[in-house]
Amino acid sequence: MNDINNNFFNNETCSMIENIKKKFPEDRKKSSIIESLLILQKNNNGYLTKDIITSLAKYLKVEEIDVYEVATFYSMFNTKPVGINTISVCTNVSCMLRNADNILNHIENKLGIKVGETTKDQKFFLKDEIECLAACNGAPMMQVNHKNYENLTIEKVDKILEEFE
Amino acid sequence: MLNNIKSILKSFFLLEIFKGLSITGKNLFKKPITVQYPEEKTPQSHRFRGLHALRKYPNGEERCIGCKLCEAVCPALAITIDTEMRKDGTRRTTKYDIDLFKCVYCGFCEESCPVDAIVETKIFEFHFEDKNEKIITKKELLKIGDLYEKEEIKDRANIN
Amino acid sequence: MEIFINNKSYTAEDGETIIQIADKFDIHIPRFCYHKHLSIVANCRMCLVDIEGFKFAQPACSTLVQDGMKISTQSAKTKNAQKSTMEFLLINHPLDCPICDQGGECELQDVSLEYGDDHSNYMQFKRVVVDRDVSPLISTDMTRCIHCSRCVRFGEEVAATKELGLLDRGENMKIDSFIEKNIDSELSGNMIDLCPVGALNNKPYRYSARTWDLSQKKGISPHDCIGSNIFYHIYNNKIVRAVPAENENINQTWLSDRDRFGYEGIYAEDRCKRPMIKKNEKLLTCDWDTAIKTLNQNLNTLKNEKKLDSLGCLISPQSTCEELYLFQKVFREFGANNIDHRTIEKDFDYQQDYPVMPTLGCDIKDLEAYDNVILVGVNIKKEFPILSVRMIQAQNKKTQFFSINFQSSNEDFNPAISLALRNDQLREFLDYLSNKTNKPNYIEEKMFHYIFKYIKSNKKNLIVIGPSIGQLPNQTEILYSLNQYSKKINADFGYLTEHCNNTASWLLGVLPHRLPLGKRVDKEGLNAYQMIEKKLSNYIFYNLEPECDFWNNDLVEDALKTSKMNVFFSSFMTPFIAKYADIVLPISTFAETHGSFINIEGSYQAYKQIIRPKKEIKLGWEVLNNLLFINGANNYTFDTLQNEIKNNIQDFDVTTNNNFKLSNQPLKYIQKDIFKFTLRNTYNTDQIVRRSKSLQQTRTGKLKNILLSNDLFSSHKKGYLEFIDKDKNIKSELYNSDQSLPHNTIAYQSYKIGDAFVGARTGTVKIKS
Repeated sequence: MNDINNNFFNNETCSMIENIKKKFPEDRKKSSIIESLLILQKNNNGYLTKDIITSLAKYLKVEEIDVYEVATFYSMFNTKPVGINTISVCTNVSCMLRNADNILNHIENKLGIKVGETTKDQKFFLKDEIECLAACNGAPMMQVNHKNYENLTIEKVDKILEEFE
Repeated sequence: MLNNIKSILKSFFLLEIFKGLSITGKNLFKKPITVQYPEEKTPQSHRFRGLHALRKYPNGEERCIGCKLCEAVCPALAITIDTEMRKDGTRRTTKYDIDLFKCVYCGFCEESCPVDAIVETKIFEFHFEDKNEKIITKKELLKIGDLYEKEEIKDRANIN
Repeated sequence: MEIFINNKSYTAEDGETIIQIADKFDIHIPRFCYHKHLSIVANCRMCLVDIEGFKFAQPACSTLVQDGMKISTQSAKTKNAQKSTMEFLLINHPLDCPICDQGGECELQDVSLEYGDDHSNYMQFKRVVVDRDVSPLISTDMTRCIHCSRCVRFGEEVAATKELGLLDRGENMKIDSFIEKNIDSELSGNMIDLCPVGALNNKPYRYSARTWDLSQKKGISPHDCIGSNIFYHIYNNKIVRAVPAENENINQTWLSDRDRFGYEGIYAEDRCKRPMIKKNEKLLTCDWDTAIKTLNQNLNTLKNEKKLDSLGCLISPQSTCEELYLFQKVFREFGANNIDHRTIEKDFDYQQDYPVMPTLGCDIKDLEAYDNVILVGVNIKKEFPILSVRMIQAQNKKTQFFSINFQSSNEDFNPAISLALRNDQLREFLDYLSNKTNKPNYIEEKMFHYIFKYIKSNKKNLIVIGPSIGQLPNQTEILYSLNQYSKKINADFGYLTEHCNNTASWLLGVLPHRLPLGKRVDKEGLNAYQMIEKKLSNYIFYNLEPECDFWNNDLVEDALKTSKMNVFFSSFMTPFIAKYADIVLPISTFAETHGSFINIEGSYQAYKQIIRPKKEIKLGWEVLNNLLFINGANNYTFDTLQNEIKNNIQDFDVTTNNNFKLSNQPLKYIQKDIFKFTLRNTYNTDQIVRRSKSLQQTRTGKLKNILLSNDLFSSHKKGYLEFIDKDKNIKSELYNSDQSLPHNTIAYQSYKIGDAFVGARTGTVKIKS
C-alpha cells in the first residue's frame, strides 16, 4: 500500500471505497470501479488524472487499463480538467424539435465557449456528446451539475446560469 | 479439241502476260504502302503494350508501394520485387526487376496495380548488347517513367 | 441430441454452441470475435445464422443448441444478415490492403470476398485512429481495427495480464494500452495471430514479404525445454517470421515471444562464415579439409601420447539430439572421458544419484490434475512464458501454486504463496517443512500455517525445480532437502531445465559419468566445472559461447588463455573465440540442420531442415560424422543416425525414470557475506536469443543492472556501487533497490552489467562502504 498516492486516498475516501467493496463479492473487484471513481473525481475538481487511475487500480488490485476503460467509457467521467459547473444540453430528437439548438447556441454565445470547452474563469464546462437525458416530457431540457432543468426558454437559461455565477 | 485450239491462241497472243502487267501498271501509279522504318513509323493502337515504366507522383514521390500484386499476377514470372519499410514508415521496394525475355507483354501488371505505378509504354524499339541487360531494374524503370510521363498523360487524355 | 444444419442431421451435446458443432463437422460459419480458446462475447455479429422459429438471425457462437434445432447457414435470411454485417464492418475499415501485411491471410478479406457485397451504401469519410508505438514486437494500425476484442480477451484470460483495453465508446472506441504504457508481456506476440485484420501485426516482419510468397516449414522451439511447435515462414531461403503450430499437448495455439522472434539471432552479424585455423598467433581462414584434418591430427596425437585426460569436451544442451549423440560418440571413440554439457552448474555431488534424465514428472497437459504445485527456483512468467498459459488454466481449475525463489516472483497466475529466500535459507526452510525442527524466524507464521493447511500427503502434489537451482554452489544440498520433503508430502518430482535439450543430453550420455541411457562409464571423467577450473591443455567447445554460457566466464577466460589447443564448433564468432581459438569450425544453427529435441515431458520431436546454410557453413552432425569417418568408422546418413538414436531411446521407459534418491546427506552450506545470484533474463538464455535484435529492444531485453535488497539499499548512501566479487572489483552506477529480494542479497539482471561481464553466476560479494 506504500506506493498508493495518499493525496487521493485519505481516511475518508478509503473507508468509502471499502464500503463500496463490501457490496460486491470478493472475487468481483472490478465491480467497485465506477463508484470509487465517482468519489475520487468529486474530490479532484470533477476530473480524473493518470495518478488517480493508477492508485485506484493498485488499491483495488485490478489492472490500470481496467480502470481506464471505465473512466473513458462513461460520459460522467472526465479525463481532462473541467470547470466547476457542468452543463449538458440535450440535443436529441424531442429536444431538437423544441428548438434545443437555439438554446445551445445561446449558451455558447453567452459563455463564449464551444461544446466540450471550459470558460476561462473555470466556472462552466459545456459537455459534448450529450444524448437523450430521459426528460422528453419537459423538452427542451438541460442538466447543470446533474440536476434537470426543463421547459427551457432563453430567459430561463439566463436565470439558471446567473444562479451559478 | 476446241480447248486445245483456245490455249494455243492464248499463248500465241501473250494474253496472260498482258493481264499480269496490267496489275503492275495499275500499282505503278498508286501510293506505296511500304514504310521507310526507322524514318517512318506505322500507326500504333491506343492499347499498344511496349516497354515497362514506373511512374511517379507530380511531387516526385514514386508511386509503387511494393504490394507485389504485379509479381503475383505475372503469368511469365518476369517480375521480381523486394520490399522494406522506408525510414518514413512507408512500404517501398528495394528491388523491382523485370526480365524482358520472360515478359509476354500481356499488360496484367498494369491492370493489377492499385496505384498505377507500373505501366507499359508505347516504346517497342529497344535492344540489348549484353545478355544481362535483359533485366531492367527499378532505377531504369523510373527513368523511363520520367521520360514518358507527359506522353502518358497526353495519351490518356486522348483516349478519354 | 439431434440438430439439423442445412437439413442434415448432426448429434450434439448439451451445452455446446452452434459454432462448435459446425466447426466439428466442417461447416463454415464466418466469424471474427469467436476463438476456441477465448471467452464468447458475440460482438462482431458475423456468425449470425438463421434458426427456424426465431424471428431474427442469431449469433452461432453464443447460441446454445437445443434438441431438434433447425439451423440454416445458406438461407436468404442468413445471407442477408452476413451481407449487412460485412457492410457495417467495412464502413470504417480502410482500403489499404495492398500495403497491409495481413493482406492475403486476412480474415476480413476472405469473409468479405465470400459473404460481402460489392458495394457499400456509406459514402462518408472513414474514421482515423492515431497509432502509438506500443511494443518493439507489435506494429499497430488501429484504423484497421474492427473491435473484435480478441486481443483484449487474450490479455485478460490467457496471459492474465490485461495490457490492451477498449477505450472510449461509440465511434471513438479504440483499442489501446494504458496511458504511455507499453505491451511488455512475454506472450504478446499471440495478439498478432489473434487479430483477424491487420491492426496488430508483426513488427520485425513488417513489409518484408507477402504471405503468398512464403513457404512454411515446421520446427521445434530451441529456446526452452517445453518444445513448442512452430511454423517458420520462409522467403528466399530466409526465415521472415514464426507462427505457432497447433499442438494441444504442448503449446496449444500459443507461442511465447522468445520462440516467435528468437530466430532473428540466426542472422546476426557475427555469424562464423568460414573455418579458421590459428597460424603465427593469427586466426586465418582455411578450407574445411584442412581444418578437419588438423583437428583429427591433433586428437590422434593426444590419443597416441595418452594425454586424453587433458582434453575437455563441452557441448551446449541447445544442440540437437543427433549432435549430442554423435559428439559423445566421437570423443568417446577417441578415448576421451571429460565430456559434459552442464556448463552453467558448479556443484556436481548429486550426479551419481540423479535420474537418467530430468523430466517434469508429468505431461504438460496434466498440470491441472494436481492440487498443489510447488515451484522452486523458477519464475514461470519470465523463464517459461508458454507454461504460464497452462498454469493459469490449471489455476482456474483450482490448482494451487506455491512459489519459492530467490526473488518473490511476479507471476501471471496468482501463487498462493510467493517466498523469496537466500540459498542458505532455502535449505533451512525445506528442512523445517519436512522435520518441523529449527523453525526459521524470517518467515511469517501465517505462511507456515497456510502451507501446512494445504500441502498434505493425501493431496496430489508436484514439486518443480527450476534451472536457477542448478547454478547454486550448494545445489546438491537443496536437491537433497527437496527430495526429503517430496517424500514427506508424497509429491511427484519434476524439473524445468536451462536449455531445450538438457533431457536428451542426460539420456544420450553427454556426461562424464554415464553412457547413453544411464549406463555406467568405466572411467569417470571430469565434470564441466572441473574441466574449466583445472585449466586443461585442450578444449573442445561445441555450440557454446564462452562469455555467457558458463558458470563463471572469468574462469573460462583463464582456462582458454593457458590451454594449448582450443577448438570451437560454433555458429557465432564471439570476442573470446576470436581471441583464443586455434581452430574454428562454423556449424549450422538449429534452423539450418535436420534435427530433433526431447522436451521436458520426454517426448521426442523431430523436424526437417528449415533453411539452407550459407556455402561454407556445415551441418553440425555432418562435421562430427566426418570426424568419425576419417577414423574408419561407419559413415552415417542422417536417417541412419536418427534411427539409431530412436532405437536407443525406444527401449527406455520414462515411467521408471523418477527414482531419484540421494544416499548421503550433504554438508551444510554456510553463507558468509552477501548472497549474489544472476537472474535468468528471458531474452538472454541462449546464444540465438541473445542476438535477436527485436527481443533485445523489449523492456525485459534491456534490463542490465544490479538489484539490491532493501536493507542493503537503504544502508548504502553512495552514488555508485563498489563491491568485491571474489578478487574482482566491480564498480557500477547501474543499480536499484528491489523489494522482492530477501535480505542481504544482490541480483544481477544479466551476465553483463553495462558492458562488463560479471563473473560467477552465484556466490558471495562484499560491498565496499
